[in-house]
Amino acid sequence: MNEKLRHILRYVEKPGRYVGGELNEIRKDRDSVFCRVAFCFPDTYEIGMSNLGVRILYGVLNNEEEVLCERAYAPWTDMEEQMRLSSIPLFTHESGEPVSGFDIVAFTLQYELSYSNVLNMLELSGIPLLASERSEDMPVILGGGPCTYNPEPVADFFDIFSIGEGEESLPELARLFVRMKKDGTYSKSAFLREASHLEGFYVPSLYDVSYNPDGTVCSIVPRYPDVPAKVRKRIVKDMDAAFYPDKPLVPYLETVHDRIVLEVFRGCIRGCRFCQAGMVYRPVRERSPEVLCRMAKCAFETSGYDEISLSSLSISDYTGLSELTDRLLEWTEPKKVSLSLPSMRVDSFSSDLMNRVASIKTGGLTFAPEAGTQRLRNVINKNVTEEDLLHAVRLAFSSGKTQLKLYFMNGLPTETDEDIEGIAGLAKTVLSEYYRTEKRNRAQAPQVTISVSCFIPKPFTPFQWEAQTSLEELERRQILLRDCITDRKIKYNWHDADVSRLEAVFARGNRKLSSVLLEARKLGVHFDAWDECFDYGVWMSAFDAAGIDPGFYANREMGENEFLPWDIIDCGVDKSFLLRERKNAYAGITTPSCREKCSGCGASRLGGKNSC
Amino acid sequence: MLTTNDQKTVRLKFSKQGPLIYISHLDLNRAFYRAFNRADLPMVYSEGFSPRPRYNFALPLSVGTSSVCEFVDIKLRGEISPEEVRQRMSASLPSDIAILDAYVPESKFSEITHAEYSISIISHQISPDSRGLFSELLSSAEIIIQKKTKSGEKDTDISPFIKRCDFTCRDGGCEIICLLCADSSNYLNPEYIIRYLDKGASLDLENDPDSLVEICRKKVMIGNSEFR
Repeated sequence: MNEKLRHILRYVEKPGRYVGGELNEIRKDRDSVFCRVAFCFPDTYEIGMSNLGVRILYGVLNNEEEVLCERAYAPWTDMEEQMRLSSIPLFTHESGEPVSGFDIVAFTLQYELSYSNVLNMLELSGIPLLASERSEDMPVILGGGPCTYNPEPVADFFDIFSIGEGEESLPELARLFVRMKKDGTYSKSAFLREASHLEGFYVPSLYDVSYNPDGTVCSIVPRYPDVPAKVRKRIVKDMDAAFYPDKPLVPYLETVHDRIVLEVFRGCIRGCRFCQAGMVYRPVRERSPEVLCRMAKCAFETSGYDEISLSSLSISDYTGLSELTDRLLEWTEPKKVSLSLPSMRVDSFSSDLMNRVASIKTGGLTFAPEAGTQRLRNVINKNVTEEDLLHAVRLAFSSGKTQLKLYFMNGLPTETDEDIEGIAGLAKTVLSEYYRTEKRNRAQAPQVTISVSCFIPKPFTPFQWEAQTSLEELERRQILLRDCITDRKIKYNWHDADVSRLEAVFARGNRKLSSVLLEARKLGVHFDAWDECFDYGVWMSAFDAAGIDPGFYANREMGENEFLPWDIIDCGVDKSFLLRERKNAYAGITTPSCREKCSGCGASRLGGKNSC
Repeated sequence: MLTTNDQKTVRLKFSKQGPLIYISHLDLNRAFYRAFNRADLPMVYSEGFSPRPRYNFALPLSVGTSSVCEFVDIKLRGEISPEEVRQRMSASLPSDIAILDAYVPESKFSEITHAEYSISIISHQISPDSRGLFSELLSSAEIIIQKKTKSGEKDTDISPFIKRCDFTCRDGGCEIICLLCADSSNYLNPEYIIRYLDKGASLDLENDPDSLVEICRKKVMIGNSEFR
């Protein structure tokens, strides 16, 4: 660690964020490898270290003998200020080397509001923001993660995107880099051209975008015949054989998810019509209980974590759940390791599960009915009834729980004031269930917290064409709901609608938005996902300066025949299925889960072991 | 049912260096907990709904301070020698925490009275002449600093807590060896000495990018003898 850095660490909060040295950190000799990757997480260390995907990719890349992968996170505002004052460029945690000296600089794009941090991290690295302004000898800037299902709003800043799951494709990309370096054929442009032939990679500079007079995209077409017209996402076919970080990095600082994350399966059998993850991670692929148990044991022995979280989009849909929990509890109980099950569905919540899992016993409980009336729950295909919810709530109250949290959305397609009032009504019904429960915990007053976010139309969902409800109307409905809640035992939290509007713009944006990002960065935006940093007014000035109307992206219903910016990507789910689902939504017709009946979404052609 | 006869305490003396000096006392606590799990030691757990292994540290160490004399007492059950605890913990701890000794303790943490620190300050404001100024600053009858308390900043006189302070000054820097109170009710963080000198001698350390401060806890004392 150099002295300049040691000097500033004395004056920043939580300096442990910036120094690396965690248990199971991988250090390699720079000179013994041919491809050096700086893996950047565009948010704080505590959030980045909680991300399982980053740990997987860090592991697979370092498993390659000729590849090295180090980590960098967005420095918090105090650290950024100190770094700028002392002219310290962004550096990686393992070696402390400047990010700009790496061969590939990879960013994971987990949420749209981190885009300003991506730009800021490039800036702090001294790397020109626009791909077109970077010379041959500068690093290849790679993007991946869920936001790359619509990479267009940030396409001008990246050289290449990894679409879909990266644990097989990123090593392939690194190997291609190594081969070209070794045989002397490497140049950035030759490498990118070659990489565009690998499945799951999108090189935006190899495509021409044309626009219609009304501002919509007319087409995105490859410039050369060898470049694919559509980029299909990559998936790992066999989850049992897939890489798992059995020696997890163990941070010293307390992170957001500070535990072993055991990824039980990918994909989701449900088809909630607002949910992007439920669509783009198809098909469902399960790991077997044996493999999971072995992975968990190994991770415990190498990390010493005292908690294992079973992770998936909807854990109660795992076919081997009772076998897995039985097997795990055999050794986790004597070792005093607790199990936690996030993502429980109310229709599968059982007293059996409650008794098994410590986190359910100790922590609060959260359920997600998403909408206040059965009509609207049918529209969004959240196949949960009020009776399902009340059943789960009764179980919770009779086991001594007094604090419940309910998640809802407002601004959903077809939503009326009746649906909003229904949220308050449902919360009231849930609360009154407490008083009807015989075995309730009388020592503590009950509290029902309702947390309401704003609906954001997302690419590759049946609601991708929908207009987001206007800011004013979203706010009116938030106030309407507030006024419907009269009981002080019901607590109401809501998300800021202006944040959601910005998310909607970037979720469905096209390449023209890069000028907005550049303007916003000039105005100093960063950490937009943090309340203390987000400034909607500044963003609106950036839209003004770029001459772009955010309403065109967020609040306009897109045409069913319109070419969508993300039509360049093939995520496995067909547009015809999404359209069918959209029509069902408007007709209030629900679609059964993949396990009950295949709805022919198209994802099964991607293959996958133990899948639907 | 275990009786207390089956339980024993093993004390580890360890150092904390490298990047690990930047982790807080709470972080260190968690790091040890996980290290116990990895080392698979026969820990004694607390009673109750969420049992925790029983171990505790002698003195907290501020973020950014290194040390060669940290102590942790671990409650263990059954037959396990201090040497074995030392070996297993050495294998499971990161290399920046080095175990220096392991034994069955004869003293209590509550008996600790003082701690000795070495402080190194690099600053071009410092010259051999600074020694006089520093000594003068720290030998005043009252040394008032602003201490953060629950109810805001409070003026505190730290002079009774400074037992000894020796300076070696040269052009561009100085070394300070100081012996400070470290019993539970009168614990003085060496950081206050640095802040006092910084202000009193107008060093302006924060705004001087070439300045550097390093603090290391060297010894923990019971009266005139070293704590063990």
